[in-house]
Amino acid sequence: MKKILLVDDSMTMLMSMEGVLKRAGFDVKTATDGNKALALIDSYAPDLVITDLNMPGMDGIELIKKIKQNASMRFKPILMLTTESQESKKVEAKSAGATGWLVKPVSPTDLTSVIKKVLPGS
Amino acid sequence: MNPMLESFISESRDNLEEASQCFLSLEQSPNDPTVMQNLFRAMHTIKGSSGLFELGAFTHLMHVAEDVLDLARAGKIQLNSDHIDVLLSAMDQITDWIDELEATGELNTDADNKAQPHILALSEMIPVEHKEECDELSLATKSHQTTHRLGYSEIESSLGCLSDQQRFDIFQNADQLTFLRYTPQESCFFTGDDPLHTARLTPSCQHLRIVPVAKWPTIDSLDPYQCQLSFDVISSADEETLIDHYRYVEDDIKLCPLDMCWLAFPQGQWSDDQSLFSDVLPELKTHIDKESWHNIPNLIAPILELANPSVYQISCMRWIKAIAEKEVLEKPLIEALFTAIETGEFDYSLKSEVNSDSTESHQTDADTTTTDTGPQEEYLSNDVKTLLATQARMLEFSNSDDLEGRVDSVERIFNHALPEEFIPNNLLDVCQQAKQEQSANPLIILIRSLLDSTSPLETNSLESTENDAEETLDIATLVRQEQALRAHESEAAADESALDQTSLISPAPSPIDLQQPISDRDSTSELARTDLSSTQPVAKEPVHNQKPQVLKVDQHRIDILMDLVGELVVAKNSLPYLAKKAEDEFNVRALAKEIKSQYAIINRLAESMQSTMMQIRMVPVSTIFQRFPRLVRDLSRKLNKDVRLVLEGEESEADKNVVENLADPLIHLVRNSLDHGFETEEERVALGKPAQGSLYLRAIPKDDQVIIEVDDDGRGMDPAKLKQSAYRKGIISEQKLETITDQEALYLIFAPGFSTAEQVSDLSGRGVGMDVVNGLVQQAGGRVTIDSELGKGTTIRLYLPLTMAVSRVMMVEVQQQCFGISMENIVETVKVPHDRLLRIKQGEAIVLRDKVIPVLSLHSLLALPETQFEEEVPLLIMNLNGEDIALKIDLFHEGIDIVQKPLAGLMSQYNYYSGSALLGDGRVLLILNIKELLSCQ
Repeated sequence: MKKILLVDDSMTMLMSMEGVLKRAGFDVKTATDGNKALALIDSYAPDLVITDLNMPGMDGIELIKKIKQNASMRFKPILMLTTESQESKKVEAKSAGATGWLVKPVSPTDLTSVIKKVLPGS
Repeated sequence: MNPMLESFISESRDNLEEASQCFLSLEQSPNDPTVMQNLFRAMHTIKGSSGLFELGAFTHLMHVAEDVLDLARAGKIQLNSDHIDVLLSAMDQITDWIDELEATGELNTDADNKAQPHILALSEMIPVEHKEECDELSLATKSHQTTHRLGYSEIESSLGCLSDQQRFDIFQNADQLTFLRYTPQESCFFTGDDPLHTARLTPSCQHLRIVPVAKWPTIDSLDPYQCQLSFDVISSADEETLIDHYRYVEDDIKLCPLDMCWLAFPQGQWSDDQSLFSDVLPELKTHIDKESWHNIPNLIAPILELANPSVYQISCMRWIKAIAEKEVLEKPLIEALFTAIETGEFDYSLKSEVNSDSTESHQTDADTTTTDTGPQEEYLSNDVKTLLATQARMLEFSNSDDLEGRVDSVERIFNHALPEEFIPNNLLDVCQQAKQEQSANPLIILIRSLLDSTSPLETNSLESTENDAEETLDIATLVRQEQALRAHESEAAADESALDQTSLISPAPSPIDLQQPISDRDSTSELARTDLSSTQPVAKEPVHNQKPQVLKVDQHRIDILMDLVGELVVAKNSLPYLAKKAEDEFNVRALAKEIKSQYAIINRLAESMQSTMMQIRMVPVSTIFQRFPRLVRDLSRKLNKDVRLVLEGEESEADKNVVENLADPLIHLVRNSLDHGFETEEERVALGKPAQGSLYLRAIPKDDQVIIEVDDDGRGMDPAKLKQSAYRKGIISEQKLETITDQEALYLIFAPGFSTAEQVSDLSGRGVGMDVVNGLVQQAGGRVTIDSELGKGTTIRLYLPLTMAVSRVMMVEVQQQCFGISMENIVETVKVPHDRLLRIKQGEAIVLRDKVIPVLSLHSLLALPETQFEEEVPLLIMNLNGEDIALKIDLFHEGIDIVQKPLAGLMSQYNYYSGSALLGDGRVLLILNIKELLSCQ
């Protein structure tokens, strides 16, 4: 089963996405901030990370950069959650190492179809 | 309620709180980037989550507010107080909606109407020149301006690589086509892209062709971690769908609509034998001239069935038929095909060449892809030799862990890279042997002998590899690089499959470039070094700076646990009874002793459990203090009074319930203070006070209480005015008017129906008087005191218990009945000789430390028969509303901790009981509310 790590400071977002992904047959873990996410990376070794952009403390871009420093995560896809008004952030995230982005609010079909695209074999 | 909505509500409350704080600090320091960032994040989260619940108006309003903030953040709007007013009132609307959501689970139908004025006001803040920008921002995802276009010249060669049959199939399958070229970034694997996967998933893909972007580098400078491929896709989906599919790599794609006509060109061997179709040509010509397309298929079909499809003229006819069946796109095209049948020259100029705005031309052309059919090498190429030599080197470096993999890889290289005649017959055996012996030597010897036996290496490749120290280092680095990257084996495998795919699908690009000498070594090893330096420290460094973990628990569960702990604390009290019983009734002293020692242990545990539980529920009072800056700001602007709010001791903690119960009384007190307490600016200046008033909100922890002070330097309260007012309203009698002290007069404001304001303003006098404040504080187990000096200011203090769950009462006995009295009001207990009680008029009093204290009898208050005291009278000295009284009782018992339960049912109307509690021995103790009891008199 493919493993997905969700990072968002909003419990609401986490709950909604976790539900959708679990129903779609993924193994899901969640973290409410960047540090917790980083702590989980080693033990959980996710196949895909989905992170929010705006988070207190460490923001999404910084988190992506840190994840990419982890040797085992270098080729793993990372999706970033944004809202439509942050075009420049998408570019920034892409250059930080994100594979793509999801625009909030994410519909379940979007979520699963995008994941199918970035996560071969899912 | 839907748990997701619940979580959204509580989360949004927190975020709104934070947002409103940020707004206030922005007013002080408008350009603080941290505050701006926090504010933006808070708003953004609310908006983002709201999208999950189909709250149209809600999301829309948040969206506009976010746009404004976005501009402010970018420095395009300077936020002033008016702007912040608008934003704050929008946030108030959001707060109202959150309340609505909590109450009903949905927004009222009038939400859109309510949102409209806010949205208008917010839009007005956006300067005209930025309006479009905002719209653009919101539409940015839909704009395709950035997508590069392809010109026909760029795709011509790609089309040329398709066989006649392939083009024909595509032509027949689709009505519209788009050509897309996807050239992934070289570093795309590092962003987790899988270009082949993406390309294969292209919607309605008709054809996928993979080509190398440049000539393949020599095998030793090939970096498998770089993507060197380009994907040509023909799809029958529309452009929008394709751009959406490739939206993460939008910069890497180029596309153009593919005119169906571009596919139609004949291919094949010109045949001089025209006997098969020469008969139909005149008729075909007529049909074409007359444009009677529907006749053409029937005319040509029989010929196509009979003829050899690889004939050029037949190919032309097949296309004519196909185009005619499509109800004709281009008459000139059919004519050109027809001419081609006769002359063998297909001459059709493409009229609809799309304008190409990209000057970059694709580097691969058809020529590259056909070079590979050169003559077979008769001897081993230098590249293959280098490859083998490198493998031998790598084998030397291998250890038992990776030997097997290395051997397999050598075996594969032998089988794939070497011409068949060079593969040694004993290869398989040697590989087996190497694996069994755990030694690479046999294989190394095999490779060396192979290298030696073939023609000696030419100059620059292996020689340098073997002799040059630097090069040796390079290989060592390569090996280390590979070890460092071992973790990515699966990805590497994916790469491999991508490469395999290339050779399968594309018309054989040359696998190894034969001319290019070994180069770029340095850059490869450089890469390896940076790889190591960047990956190693991370691997070694343990993840530190972990923040303390926080657990969010439903408050209800904590409450239950708290109640249970409270019960336990009370239940343990039964043990001393038990010990007493064991000793007195059953006369087993030893058992009594044991029970007592057990009791000590349980007591200690229960107490530490209780204090831990209390700490769990502790929250800083700042959680409610935070609301006040906003309140004071709004009120002072509205009342035109300049008031500075100073918060002190916000970090003091108290029980969550206590803190929450505090919010309403405090809001009322602060409102009162601003409305009635402070003078206007002019008045203050005239009185010689600083023009700006100061309002202090303090939280002072003291023992097991926390004191909240609302301290203003306003006009203070006038006792004379209070007395008069109370008298006029019939709250006090004429007699009382004369006797009441100034201190007592201050407490008149707690009397129901009392309000000094001449007119009821819309801020404070909303019919909720100070009596309500007093009631709420008492409910929370606290009390209120007032200090006020005319002209100097007023200080109102709320004394609140740290926790409400367990309270301490003193047990007293009157006429063989036990009652509990809250310890909070008890100052001391004394026993005085009965002759020291003085009779003053109808009442009794006592002089205690030179102070006259009225004495009341609990018996008479409870309508029980009076006790005649022979010698000493036990007195309970209490402080109520700042005044001392003494209460006559029969017997003092110990002070105990109880969990107070409010009275239910019929009993609940007797408000002179504040509640009941269960005693250790199973009896029920009624807790007296002395203040109420006194007022019943």
